[in-house]
Amino acid sequence: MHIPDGLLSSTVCAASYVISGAVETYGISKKSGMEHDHSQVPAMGVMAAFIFAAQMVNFPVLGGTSGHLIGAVLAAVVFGPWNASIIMTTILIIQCLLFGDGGIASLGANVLNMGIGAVFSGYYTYHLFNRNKKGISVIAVFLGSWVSVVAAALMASAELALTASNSITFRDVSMLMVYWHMLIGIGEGIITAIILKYLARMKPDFF
Amino acid sequence: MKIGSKLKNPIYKWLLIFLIIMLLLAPFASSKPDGLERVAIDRGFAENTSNSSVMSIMPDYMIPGIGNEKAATALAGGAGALILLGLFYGAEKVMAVLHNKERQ
Repeated sequence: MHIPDGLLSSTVCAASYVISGAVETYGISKKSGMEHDHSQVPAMGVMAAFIFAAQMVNFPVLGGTSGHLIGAVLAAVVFGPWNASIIMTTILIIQCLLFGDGGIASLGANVLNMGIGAVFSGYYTYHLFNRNKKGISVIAVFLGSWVSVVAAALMASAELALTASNSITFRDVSMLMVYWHMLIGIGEGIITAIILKYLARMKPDFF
Repeated sequence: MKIGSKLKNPIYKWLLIFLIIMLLLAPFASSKPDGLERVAIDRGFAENTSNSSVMSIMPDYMIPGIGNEKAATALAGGAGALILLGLFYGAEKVMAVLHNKERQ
């Protein structure tokens, strides 16, 4: 769901840079806990490297379309939403600068959708349904992951619709975006649930 | 707030194993358009896409100059993963130095 350059107006790009920049700055300085303890940072790097590699593995969905893991809920369940947001943002910056995936002007929007929107919507959905306080509920992980993808798709739709030159309405583009990402979200949910369940089995007291 | 614990935790060993599996799968990934690209094509705004002015070193997740596309993809994935590991590892070292200075 990496938005390339050319699809968003400069106003939408600038506004999303400001919002994403403010949220990430606040997260790093106030919410990451790194001021007191930064020992988790190398472990966050392992998560970032894994999510980056997993995002390269596009799986087919219906009708000649593909999707790939975003990984927002995976990172958020292990590190909490604020640190997950830092992980996702770092991945998006590397993808944009070194791999040409996602435009540079639209990086702020991609961070807003996948680094903030997907992380927080997915994490709190997971939290809402995770009644199993001492472990991981597969259903909660699946629902959180699914919501994270659909929420990011809705945010991308809004940004695309706000760009007048695309001559599309929010209703039209969001219906299509949500349709495809409801399908892709199933893949996100299954992959995230398998990985988290496996990790939880390897180290049950961690979660 | 939840803090993921140290690298000693076995879950990171497993994440590294999963990472290698992903690198091996990446060359066989679907090359079909993703959800956003599908909508952009179907609604006719895909042609508005412009190439970024800044050159990316590894466009399309392939290391240029390697003839075998599958190998070029897996290696580009490995390079990206190493860069991310290095960034976070380096950031932790910088934070440790800053932390010590503050204490003195």
